[in-house]
Amino acid sequence: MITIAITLVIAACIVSLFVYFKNKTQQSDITEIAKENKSNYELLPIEELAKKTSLDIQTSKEVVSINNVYKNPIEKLSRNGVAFADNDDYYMAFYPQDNGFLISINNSDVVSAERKAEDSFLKQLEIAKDQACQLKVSITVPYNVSKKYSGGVYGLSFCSGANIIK
Amino acid sequence: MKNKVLGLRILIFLAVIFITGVLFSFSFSVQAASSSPYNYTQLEKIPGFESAGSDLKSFVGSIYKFGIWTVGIAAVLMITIGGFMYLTSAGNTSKMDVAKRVVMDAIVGLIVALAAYLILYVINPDLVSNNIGTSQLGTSQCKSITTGACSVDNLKSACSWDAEKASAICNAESGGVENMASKVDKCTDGNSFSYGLFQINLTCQCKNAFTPVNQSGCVNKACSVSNQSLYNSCVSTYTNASANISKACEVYKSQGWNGWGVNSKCGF
Repeated sequence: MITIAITLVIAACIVSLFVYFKNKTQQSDITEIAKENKSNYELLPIEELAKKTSLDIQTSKEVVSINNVYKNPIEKLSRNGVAFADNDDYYMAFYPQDNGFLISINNSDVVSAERKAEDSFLKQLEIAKDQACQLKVSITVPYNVSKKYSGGVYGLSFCSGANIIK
Repeated sequence: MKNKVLGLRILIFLAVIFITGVLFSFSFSVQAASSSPYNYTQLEKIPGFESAGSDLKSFVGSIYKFGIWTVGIAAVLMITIGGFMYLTSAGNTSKMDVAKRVVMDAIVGLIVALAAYLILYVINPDLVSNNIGTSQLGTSQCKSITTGACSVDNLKSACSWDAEKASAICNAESGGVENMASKVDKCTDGNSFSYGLFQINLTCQCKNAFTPVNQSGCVNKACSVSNQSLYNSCVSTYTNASANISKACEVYKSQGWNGWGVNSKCGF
């Protein structure tokens, strides 16, 4: 009798485990979307995003609050992305799918242009270097700008452990 | 002997429950080979791991993690039951032995499960972090990116190509800039003729916008724009991310990765 009872209890627990995990994750998906879209800016129309004063980017350590890059967009991009800087030295864009920033270098003097881009990035987002290092920033160089640096994915030069342009 | 049979029955029962759960969860349908040969749409995700990717690698990883969780919870449960049996044995030595056996078996099961994790971790940490085969780019100087229109995530559903390599080519060609106009590929009149994410050559795609017209191929640098409105329309088309990727897919299907000059660097 004890054997059957134990077996039934274990079976019930495992089935409950399935049901509990399933319900919990479905519920958390809904609340995640509902709670101010901290990491779901891709779900909001750009017009709605432009009304916000700042964007909260969830990083592995904390939430980093940045200037709203949707406020004065240079260009609306695919996937709800937005370009917020474009000049002879660099191009910057934000994509909400992974809350990632793309900085592409436009000048063949890559190292100098990259440093300018970093300064501008900090100013435009109004964040400190340590906050910037928590963000997902990909620095790229097109082949027609520099054969040497093209194809790589670089990080901000002031962040420890980053693959930097030098 | 009786205890061994009991233990065996419980073990078999647990295994059946676990395997059944896994089989129910494994009911996913193959969604054509259009994206990647190892991508599936799961009809039922592994409980607790819904956010895992939809590829086979993530699925196996989820099963593994779910198994570890199940073993841990089952062990705690069995230790509790064993403890309860021990408390209520009222000095009956055979009942105490059964209770001890239950607790010991649970602890041994837990150690075996964790030892499996430890052994795999010691051999290669990537075995347990699900990183095996993450990058197929090897030592190539061209790297894939995870942000924007050139991201692997965006490209894997666009064409039946290796999305990692496509992302790396896209990154190397344009840096992920959707409206990138080439600074090098220019006609004699100064107009760029390579545009967008994959730097599509407009002299091949919009032949009538350029002189001389080469119906059988591309004109490249010897060109000049002869029809400005057609040229503008063509630029507008190929600075659109999805149109550019779609054309890149055609180029890939006809020429492979050598359709892009940058592949001399990437070596795909």
